[in-house]
Amino acid sequence: MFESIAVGFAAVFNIKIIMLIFIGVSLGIVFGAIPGLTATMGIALCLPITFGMTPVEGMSLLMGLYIGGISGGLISATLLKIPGTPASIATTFDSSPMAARGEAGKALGVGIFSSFIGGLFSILALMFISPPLAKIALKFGPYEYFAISIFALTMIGSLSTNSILKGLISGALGMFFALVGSAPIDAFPRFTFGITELDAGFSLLPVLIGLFAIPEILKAASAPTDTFDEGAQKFTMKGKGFGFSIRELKEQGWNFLRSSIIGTGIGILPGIGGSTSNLISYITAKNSSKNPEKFGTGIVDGIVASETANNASVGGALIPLLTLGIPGDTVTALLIGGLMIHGLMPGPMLFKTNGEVVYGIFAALIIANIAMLVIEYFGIRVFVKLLSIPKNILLPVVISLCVVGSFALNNRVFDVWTLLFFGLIGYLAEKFDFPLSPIVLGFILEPIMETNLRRGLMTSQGSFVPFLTQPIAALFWAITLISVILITRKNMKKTKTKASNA
Amino acid sequence: MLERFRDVIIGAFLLICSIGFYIYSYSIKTMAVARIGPAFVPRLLCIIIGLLSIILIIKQIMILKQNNNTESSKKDNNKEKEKVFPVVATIVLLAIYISLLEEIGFVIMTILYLVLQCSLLKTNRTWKDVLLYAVIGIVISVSVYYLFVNVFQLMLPAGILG
Repeated sequence: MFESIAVGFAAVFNIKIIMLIFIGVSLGIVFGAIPGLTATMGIALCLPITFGMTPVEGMSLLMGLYIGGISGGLISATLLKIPGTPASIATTFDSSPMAARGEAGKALGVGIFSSFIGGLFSILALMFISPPLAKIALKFGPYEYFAISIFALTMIGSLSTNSILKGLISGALGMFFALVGSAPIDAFPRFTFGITELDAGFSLLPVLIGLFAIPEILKAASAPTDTFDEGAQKFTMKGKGFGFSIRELKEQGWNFLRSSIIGTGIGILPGIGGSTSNLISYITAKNSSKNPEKFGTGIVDGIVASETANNASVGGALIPLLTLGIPGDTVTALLIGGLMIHGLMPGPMLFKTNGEVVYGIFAALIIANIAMLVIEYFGIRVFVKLLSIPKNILLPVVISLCVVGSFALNNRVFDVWTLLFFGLIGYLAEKFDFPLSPIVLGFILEPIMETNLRRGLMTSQGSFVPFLTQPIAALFWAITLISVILITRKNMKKTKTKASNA
Repeated sequence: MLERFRDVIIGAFLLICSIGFYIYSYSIKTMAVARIGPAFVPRLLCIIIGLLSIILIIKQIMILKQNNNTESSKKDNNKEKEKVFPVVATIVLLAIYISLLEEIGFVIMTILYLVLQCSLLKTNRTWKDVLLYAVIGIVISVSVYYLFVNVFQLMLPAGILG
């Protein structure tokens, strides 16, 4: 096995491939950082380019794009409070307040380093323990997926800082928006009001960008004074390096480990990826921390939890792809195409027939991870300079890029109207003090929940019993129950101390 | 004054919507056999949102009853007036931008949008500012169009230029 790794590295260690990886990572970071463009889009665009390359070269480029793309979202999350990709939603919660305090460099540094750690963990998991992990993932059927999605939905309650009630309403609203379109399994149209473009429902990207980006520009428009004319936010790059100390690093040890595991685990499950794992990891970190109220004010823990998990989902999603031929998320689904262009069939036989390509992919992943670290590290100063562009120029440009991204998704203006529609919803939500992220989480999870509910019922002939009794599903129900009880107890204690202090 | 009834208003709105959509869900075609069909989750969500909004209304009314004794009008004086016109104008501008996007084309509409939006957001704009925005608008529009259409081979509306 170790000779294979050595062979893989040898295949990758030449100038052309290293350059391809660096280009891929840089391009991926750009795609990830611009709200409106995503890693998926980047890979889709560059797939045809790999046609003329050898398999190892092509896959190296795509791996660079993947890692850069998932990681790049933290840049706009920190600087603009707009997640560059759905995988960086939770990053906005803490890195944006940190940047507002003038510590943008630190926020970026923490995010970059966390991305590196998460990626490294999942790549090592991919390299050494993918076969058994993949076998476990195979055991997940509709009952298990339903239990997981209910588990994830109950965590919505922990996402809201002030009112759990409003958080639940937001989550339910998000789920409701996901209903629009064709129902799962039988494809009957729901809530389409005769508009043909709605037959497939709302696309995630315009929804996400609309909810987060448009309210930013509307808020800037309504600001009483020109708070952005000064533009240049005073920022201090404390210390050299990444802007955080070794001590802070050690404090985050458990956070790193737990978030990596969550990210890898969720990445392994086909259909759920970085967009979900960052939120789950953030909520878990918040609930396990001694000071949960500090989350959302700009602490290191929040950024670490989110960014570690979303990069860990990269390696996680590759596990079922390379071992079973089942894509772990949208990007890996595209990668199947990438492999097939070069005549490689992803699946269990890939290791035997084209082992050197697989190990080349592993080597490329590690190099891409390091490349991401290096590029983003040197880029921190450049990125922070972007903050000094006056908001009245920066925000309209960002919005026009969001328009481009939404349009380019499906080549129709309807998606741009979706952008505006959800922008208004997001603005109203903020005006009425409803949290935004439960809307997104509900929107992402509803299809998973409902499809697996219907599928499971079909398999069990209408009986609910297997949903609760299947071993893995039962495990998740237990976890859900325990976490709900723990959270409720914590909240009751909090209100008791508030009442006794008042 | 409206501030205090904020939650009640939105709660009532959500309640009416959830009832409305519940009724509307009866128009969803279902297979006769299925007990849990395409209308199940919509109705479930309508019930959940309806119940939660009732709780929201009740909660807010209870808080208001408690606070009726204590005066909380000091807050309003300190908050500066938030501007309403730029918000409405931004929304209208975006709507026009999107509706004319395919007809007139990406490049021209984006230039117009950028110039107008940047000017809208700045309170003391001068002619020099508008000129700057025009330059930025042209540079960004053209370079994005070139990048996406020629390099990435994506399609953007060419409109009257194409």
